[in-house]
Formats: sequence, C-alpha cells, structure tokens
Amino acid sequence: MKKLVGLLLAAMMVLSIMAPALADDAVTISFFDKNSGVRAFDDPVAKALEERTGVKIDLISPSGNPGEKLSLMLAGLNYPDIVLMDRGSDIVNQYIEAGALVNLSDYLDQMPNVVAMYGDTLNKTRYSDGNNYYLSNWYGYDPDPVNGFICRYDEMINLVGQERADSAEPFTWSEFKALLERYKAAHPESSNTLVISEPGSGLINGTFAGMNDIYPYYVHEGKLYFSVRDPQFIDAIHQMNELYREGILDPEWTGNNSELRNQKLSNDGAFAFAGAYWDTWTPSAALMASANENAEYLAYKVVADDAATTDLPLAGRSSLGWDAIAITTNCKNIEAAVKFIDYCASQEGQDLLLWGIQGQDWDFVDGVRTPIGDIVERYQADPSNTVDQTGITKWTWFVKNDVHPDDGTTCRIWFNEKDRSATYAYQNLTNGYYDSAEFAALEPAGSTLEALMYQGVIDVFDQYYPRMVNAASVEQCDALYNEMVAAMESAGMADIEAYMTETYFARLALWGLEPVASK
Amino acid sequence: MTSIPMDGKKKKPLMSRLKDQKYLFLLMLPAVIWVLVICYAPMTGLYMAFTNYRPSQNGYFYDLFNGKFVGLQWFQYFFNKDFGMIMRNTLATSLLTLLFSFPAPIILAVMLNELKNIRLKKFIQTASYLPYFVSWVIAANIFLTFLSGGGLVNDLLMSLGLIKERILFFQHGPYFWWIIAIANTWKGMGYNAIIYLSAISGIDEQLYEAASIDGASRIKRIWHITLPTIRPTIATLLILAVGGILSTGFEQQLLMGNNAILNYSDVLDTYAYRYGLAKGMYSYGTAVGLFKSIVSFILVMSTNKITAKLNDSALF
Repeated sequence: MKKLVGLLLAAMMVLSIMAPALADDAVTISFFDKNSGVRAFDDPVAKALEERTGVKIDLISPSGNPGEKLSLMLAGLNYPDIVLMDRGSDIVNQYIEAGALVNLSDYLDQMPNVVAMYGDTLNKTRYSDGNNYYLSNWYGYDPDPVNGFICRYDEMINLVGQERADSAEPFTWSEFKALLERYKAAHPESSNTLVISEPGSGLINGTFAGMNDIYPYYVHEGKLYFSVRDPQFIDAIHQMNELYREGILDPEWTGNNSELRNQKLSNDGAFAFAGAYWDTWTPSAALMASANENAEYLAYKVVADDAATTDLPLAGRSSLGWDAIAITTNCKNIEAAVKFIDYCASQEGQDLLLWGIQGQDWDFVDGVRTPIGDIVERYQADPSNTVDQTGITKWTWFVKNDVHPDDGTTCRIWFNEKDRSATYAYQNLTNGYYDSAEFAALEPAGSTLEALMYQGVIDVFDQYYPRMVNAASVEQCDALYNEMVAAMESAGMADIEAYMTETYFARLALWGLEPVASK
Repeated sequence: MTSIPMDGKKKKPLMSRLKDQKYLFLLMLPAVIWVLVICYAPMTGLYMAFTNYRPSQNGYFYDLFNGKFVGLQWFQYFFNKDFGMIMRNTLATSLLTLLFSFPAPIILAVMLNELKNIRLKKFIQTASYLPYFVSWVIAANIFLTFLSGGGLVNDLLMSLGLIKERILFFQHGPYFWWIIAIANTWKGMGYNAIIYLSAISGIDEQLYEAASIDGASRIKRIWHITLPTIRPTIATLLILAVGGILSTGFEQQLLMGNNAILNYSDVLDTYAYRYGLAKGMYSYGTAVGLFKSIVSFILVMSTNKITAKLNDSALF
C-alpha cells in the first residue's frame, strides 16, 4: 500500500512539472499596458486574440503610478517584452536612448498590416536616427469634439428656453457668465455651480484655454514660448478668478479627482462642467435615473466676447496618438511579438479589439457592421461592466482613429450611433479640432540639467495656476501672475524655450508643416 | 597594548578566538551576508548622486561607473533651487508631528495604566491602535472627506456657531502641515503606546503601594514613579524620532496634497520621488535622498550624545 501511494505521489509530481508544457505550447509574451489598471486578461476578446495569434499574453499590471513603474523597470533592465507608454512623456526617449527598444524598422517587412494601416504616421514617429522604435496608439486624424461647457440640459431650458437650449449658436462669454450668475442667484446654497477638473501639469483648463484661443505653446514671430506668455493667457485666468470670487466656481476644484468631480456633478447645485463632454457620462446617468430624463449634461460652446472667430482650439488631439507601444530588447521571441503586433494592428485585429467577436457581438448586415442584440444598450446603461464582461474596447492597442473604409462605421462599436450627449457635442462644439502632434514631447529628455530646469519651470507654473485662480482680488491675481513669470524666468524658462524652439521648428521642417497656431 | 579583562585573565588573540568560536560565527554568517547584500551593497548606488547616470544595455554597474562624473552639480542645483522650500515644509511638518505624536502615546499609555476597568482599558487600547493598520489610502480619504468644504468638521463648526464661513482646509498651505501632524499622530499614537505600556508593566507594584502608604496622590505617583521609570524608553524613542525628523511621511502628502498647496506639501521624500522615480532623473533623486540620509545621520548622532549627557542613558 505504501509503495502504491509513493508511486502515485511520484507520478503526480512528474505530471505537475510537465503539465504546463503538455497543456500549452503557445509562446508567452509579457505586456506592460500603462492603462490596464487592475484588469485581468481573461475576457472573450482576450481569449480570441490569444487563439488567433498563438501568443499567450502575460499582462503586467501598472499597480500604482505607471510612470514610476516604467522608470524602475528601465533602471533595473527588467522591462517586459512589450511596453505601452505615454507618448507625450519623455519616458519614450529615455527607453530609446537606453537602447531598451527594438528597432522596428528592421521588421517592417514582416508587418504588412502595420505598414498599410499606419502609412505616413510611421514617418512622423521616427526617432532622430531615422528609425521607428515604437508604434502609436490612437493614431490618425480624429476631429471629434472635446472641450466645452457641459451644462445640465433641464436647467438650460429653464434659463434660456427650449429653442435656445437646442440651438447650435455659441454663447458669448458675457452671455454665459450671466447664465451662471442667474443660476447661482436661484441656488444661493450651491458652491459648485461650475465644476472643473483638478489641474493637470503645465496646462490650464482646456475649455478656458480653447475659448481664449490659447494653444499648449505660444508660437510668435518664429519662436515657441510657454503659454503663459500668450497675451490672452491672463484673460483666461481672470475669467476663472472672477467665477471663483463670485462663488460660482467650485472652491475645492484643486482637489477634485474623477470620483469627487462626479459626486459634485451628480448632486443638485451643480449646473455646468468645463471640460471634455464625455467626462459627464456617469453623473448624467445618475441624474437621469434620479431626477428627470432631461437632467443630462450636454455640451455648449462659449466664445470670448471679442473673439474674431468661433473656430477655437477646443479639441487638440494628436494624430500621432496618446501612447507608444514598443518591443523591448528583453523580448526573447521577437518574431512572435512582431506577428502579434501585426495582427492587432490589422483591420481584423482592430475589429476584434474594438467591435468584439464577429457572429457573437456583431456581424455584417448588407455589407455593414451591425451590433448584435442589445449590446450597445447594455453599454449605455452600464459602460464599465459591459466593457469588462465582453472585453470590447477593454484592450485598446494600436488603435486607429478612423471610420471603416468599407462601410463607414466608426472604429469602436459603442459610438456607431450617437446618443444625445454626443449629438449635442458634435452639433455645438464645431471647428475646434487641431492636430496637437507638433507640440508633443518637445521638452528636454532624460537625466540632464535641461530636463531638470524644464521640470522646475513646470513646477512653478503648477503651483501658481491654482493660486491665481483662487486669488482674493484681481489685483492679487495679477501680482501672482507677475510673480509666477519672474519665478519661471529664474528657473530657466528662456533657455528651455530656446531649446524647444529649435526642436519644434526642426520637427515642422521634417514633416513639411507650418505652425498650427502662429500668432 | 593588550587589554586585560576584569577577571584578570589575558584576552586571547582574535584569530584564536575566531577559531575557538567558529561554529558560533558560522551561525552568524547568514545574518552578516544578509546585512552586506541587502543593506550595504545597494549603497554603491549612492555614487549615482555624483554622476550623470543613464541606464543602458550594458548593465547597472557599467552604467554606474561609466556615467559622466559631475561632482556636486545635482546638490548645487537642489540648494540653489528648491532646498529652502522643501526643508521648510519637511521641518515644519516634522516638528509639528513630533510636538503631537511624541507626547500623545506617553499620555495615552499612562492614562490606560491608571484605568481600572479592564474591559474599557482593552477596548480603548484596541480602538487606539486600529488606525495604525489602516492604509494611508483609506486614512487620506477619511481626512479628505471629513475636512472638505461640505464635510463633517465644517458642519460641526458651523452648527456650533464657531465659524461663519466654511474653512477650505486643503486650499491653505499652512493648514496642511497641521493636518499631516494630526493625521500622523492619530495613526501612530495607539501603536506607539504599546511600547510605553510594556515599559510601565515592568514597574514594581510595591513602589506604587509604598507611595500610596506615604500619601502620594495619583498624579504624584505618575510624576515620581511612572514617568521616571519609563524615561530610558522615552529617551530611546526620542532619539529614533529625531533621527527620522526628515522622514515626515510620503503617502499622506501624495494622497492629501494638491497643486494649490504644493509649495507647502512637498517634502524631501515626495520631492525625491517626483524627480527621481516619476520623472526618471535618477541621479538628482539620489542626490536629494543622500542629502536626507546624511542630515538624518547627523541628527541621530547629536541626539544620542545630548541624551547621553542629560540622561545617563543613550541608544549607543
């Protein structure tokens, strides 16, 4: 009996050691996706992708700050086979300079789908040595609306009447400010009449910037400057400061994370949000369920009183995408990684990632991609759970911002039919698009004194921006502005501007472009 | 000159003693290796503070020793730029934390010791050290919610008529120092009290009984028996606290701070993190970290000396 038990145990040990090899001979590729959060790679789309490519994905979770993790992985040389990084950040250049990325130019002949889909984008994402080290994610021209004043539709009807609330005609700043003041007067207890997101680094609120014709950088007489030197910069700050002093702007805006912001927008007392129109979807769903069907946040365009044109930079989107995806030199099976990437970037791969499984989630009806069943309705009612369960748009890799060339449907299944918030955004936030690719990653990269100086300049800006908006008087606001510019100067702003001017115009020359916003 | 031990016997030479006690030293070997590998070997990375370190495919040590030597460039930049602000924030937050968090566990431990109801004593003890096990993510959200414009604290102050306008605690820099000090104290007070309670439990009961017979009041018993007896523990913890004065926290600043008060919330650790890790400026981050370590080392040594002089008891 003892012998039998011993034999059985020994057999189990041998089998358990051999089991992975017997059950699964697929190649495993480790993949760091900075956007993946805590999601698991186990949904129907993920499984279908693994089956079709013969590659098993070992997803590396960012667990915390993705930038920190990327830096640590680079320092420890323990980065995974594929990394997805923020393209606008200088971490991409750090990886390239460290020799951590595979030169993809050597493999383009093995990636026909990449070459066909990316086209000229490959030329624009070349490194200074002329080689491609990464592929863009969310690339291509994307003239979707972004920023505006996103207002409660029911309250808008109360304030200006149904006809004006449905009109595509922009409001002037004076008109819109009067609306905010009227709302505040009718709701004196409200401290959140206008809600904005917490400050990002180096930029002011996108709606106020766009409304005042302010771009990420100020280009003037052949030189590139930080936007604080734009003469209209102080106008935008004054507008925000005035709202703060009148008790209209949420006084605790600097501490708003997305949850806090949604809470404020879901409560009675909030009237408008200055930002991207899609950021109000969650509070809109809550309000429409609890209040009335018109208690939805819809986008309105507001232009400065003296604006010469209503074509304002409210929707800066980079044609070169948000992210960079690269194969690292730690990858032991580059052939498999290349094959995997080429499939993901292909139209079939994109349809799998962004439309789901053909025959299950969608199918062709009269040659047009058509969702099956109530999948889109399920998404509209509960976006995050539907994405999680179906896997559709959960893994947004090598995404091309474009409509399908064969049937004209959108690249993502959810947005093929516009709901009311998208309809209003497209109707009202017109002519705001500009390609922000030329402004991306101009800053000095890596561990250099110039990079430190750049960060120092941005730190000064980040500290002064909320203080200017929250100033007790316009005089104090102006004094803080002057103090900020002086502090930025002493941190080396002019030297950094000279550096970035050179990079910027060299880039434009390489791409054969004129500056998008020369004033 | 060879030292003569107290018993008068001549001390054996080192090699001979090593040979005699070879098995004891062998037992110690894993710990020595651990200290060398985990504690001392990474210190080679401090050299990074004097070079322009850039990782490449040549390996860590190659990059470390072949990076361009820049001397004190990173230190100079730090001292010329942000040193004043960062040190002000670090010291202000630390000293305020020390002011609250150092006496608080002593007072709590003494009060708990005086409590005769065992069940109440255990309840208070458990309730007071629970915050220690709450992560800063949750603790920071509690503070953010309670201290927000529409939060519990403002509601309470308004209803008591103590304030007419709501206080925006997280919009005013100096408030942040106090908030961090209070949060640190709240979180660590109960846990630190355990150390004092264990010291108090070692006091001979007969001392209290004798004092009671002599007519000493409860306050006098605390003042003349409890506190002097736990003085060595207080001294030890003070040395450790002063040594850690530049380590005023990290998660709490990151989680509760915002850009409006960055010039008050940024301390040495968050600053080194932002530049060193988040921005990948390894050499600069290392320089800031090294500066902090040197100052902390000096502080520990000084406090130890001072405590030894004042108290006849020191850590080393």
